[in-house]
Amino acid sequence: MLEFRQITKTFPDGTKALKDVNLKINKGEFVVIVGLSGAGKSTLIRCVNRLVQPTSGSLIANGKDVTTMNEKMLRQWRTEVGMIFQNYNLVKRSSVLRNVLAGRLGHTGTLRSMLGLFSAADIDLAKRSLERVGISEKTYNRADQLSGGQQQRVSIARALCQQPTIMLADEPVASLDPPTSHSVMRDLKRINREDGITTLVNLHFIDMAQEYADRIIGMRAGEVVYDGPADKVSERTFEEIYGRKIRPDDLRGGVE
Amino acid sequence: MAQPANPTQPKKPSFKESGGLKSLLGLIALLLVYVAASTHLGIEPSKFASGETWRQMADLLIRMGPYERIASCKNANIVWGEPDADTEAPWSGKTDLDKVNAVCEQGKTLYWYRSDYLEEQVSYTRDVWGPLMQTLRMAIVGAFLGALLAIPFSLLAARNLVRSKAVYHTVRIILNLIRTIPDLVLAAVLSGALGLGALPGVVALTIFSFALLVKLLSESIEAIDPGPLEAMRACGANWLQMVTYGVVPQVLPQFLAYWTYVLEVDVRASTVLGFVGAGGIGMTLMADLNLTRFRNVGSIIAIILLLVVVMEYVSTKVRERLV
Repeated sequence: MLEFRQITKTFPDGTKALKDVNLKINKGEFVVIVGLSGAGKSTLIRCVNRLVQPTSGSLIANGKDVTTMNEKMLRQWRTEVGMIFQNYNLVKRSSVLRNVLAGRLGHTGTLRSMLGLFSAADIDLAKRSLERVGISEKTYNRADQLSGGQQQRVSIARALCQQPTIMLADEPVASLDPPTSHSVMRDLKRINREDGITTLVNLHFIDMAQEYADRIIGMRAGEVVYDGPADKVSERTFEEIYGRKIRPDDLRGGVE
Repeated sequence: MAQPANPTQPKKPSFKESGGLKSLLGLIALLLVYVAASTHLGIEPSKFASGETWRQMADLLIRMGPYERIASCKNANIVWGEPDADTEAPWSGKTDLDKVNAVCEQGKTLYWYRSDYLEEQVSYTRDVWGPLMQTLRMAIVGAFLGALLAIPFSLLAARNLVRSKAVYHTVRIILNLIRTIPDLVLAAVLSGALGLGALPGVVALTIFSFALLVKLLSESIEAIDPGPLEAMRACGANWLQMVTYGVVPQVLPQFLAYWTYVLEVDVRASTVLGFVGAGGIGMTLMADLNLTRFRNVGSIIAIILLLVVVMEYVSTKVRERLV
């Protein structure tokens, strides 16, 4: 359902973040992309919703080329792609509900949304999304009153509220402690199973990648150096991906 | 948390939940203040006249120079002393000009009393209440209109929101040009163009607050956390939605704080704008100065001081609450 064809990205400063990436992601897969920081994981994931515009190559989603979409088509496509971030990217001064409703912006008319007039169905959807990640009691709190793990769940709820077909997660647990990391990953995995949402997660913890992924993609210096099912990878595979010995800080640990 | 019985028929969200109530109340409150300030502003279309108004006023002021007249008439009789019923009665309710005429042309004795100073000035305060309120209204209306104009332009003058370098730099250059014009010069030019009164004052203050606010606001927009904007772009939000949901909540407290500051600056500026014919208490002050009514001048300066101190106190308190 998602196909990277010879995707290359060179940043204006000359950094080659992606070099001729070819990948095929199947519907409903839970894919974890591993690699050291700077390997191009974030750039790869941002090509999917074109927060990063690839320099060349094409990205085919449901038969359409994302890289050549015009502004309107692109916004339409982005509504189908939920995304969560390392730093949660919530509006800290707004309420949790309002943050989650932001996920409906792409589906709501400009004027209606500017006046805050979301439909009853949208508000209900937002509340149900919050229930699914288990923080409905925080609906009317301000986002900055929540802990890191709670904020990340709000951002998952925001993505859910888009009713996406694809979920992107850019280092979703890098700012969290081990137990919270696992519960956030479990949430993502559960949503992937229940809704059949294709999920792409960037991680640099190899134990978490092995635990949650269906499929692992290894990246080094902008190139895909490994691609295979999660149960076939070993420590040896990771050492090849990282190009060095595995260190303790490559592991998150802390399974409850 | 109340669960809707049937997910396909969710309960209608209350107006409060949709956030509509809060924004509506805020909007109504702001409108009320604005309407209260802008009514009775004293803008009369008939006064939008040419240089004729200026000339007439200059003539009047020259003819009214009271001390020159007293000095030039030989039978003037001015005595400092305590008032009593006999000396007080003929002068009650008379203006300085009346007194000068009486002294010069009818040879009457004018008693200038030290002891009635306070009483006289308290009653004078009632006279300047109108112009004082006009000053305050000019400041509020100017700050309001300036803020209305400043909001769209500060978005265009923020580098993180405008991709086009041409738009960004054009807006910046225009704003820098506007900011170089001192408010007093602006008011003088405008009162020449629009006639004497509150109108040129309001326009000058609008432009002045606009330029100041855009500068402050665009810089705080540039300093916001870009994360939420990226998240909203990823949700398929368009530019206006990103501004409403990502930018506005982040800069609203600063915006309100800046606005109270601009209001405070406007009050101070508008007391002086009257010097160049732009209405308000400054015009009264200038008239009193030219007529050498220094007691009145003293009172006006004290009143302005009080107003500025109160404004500063209030706006500091508001800013403390907001930031």
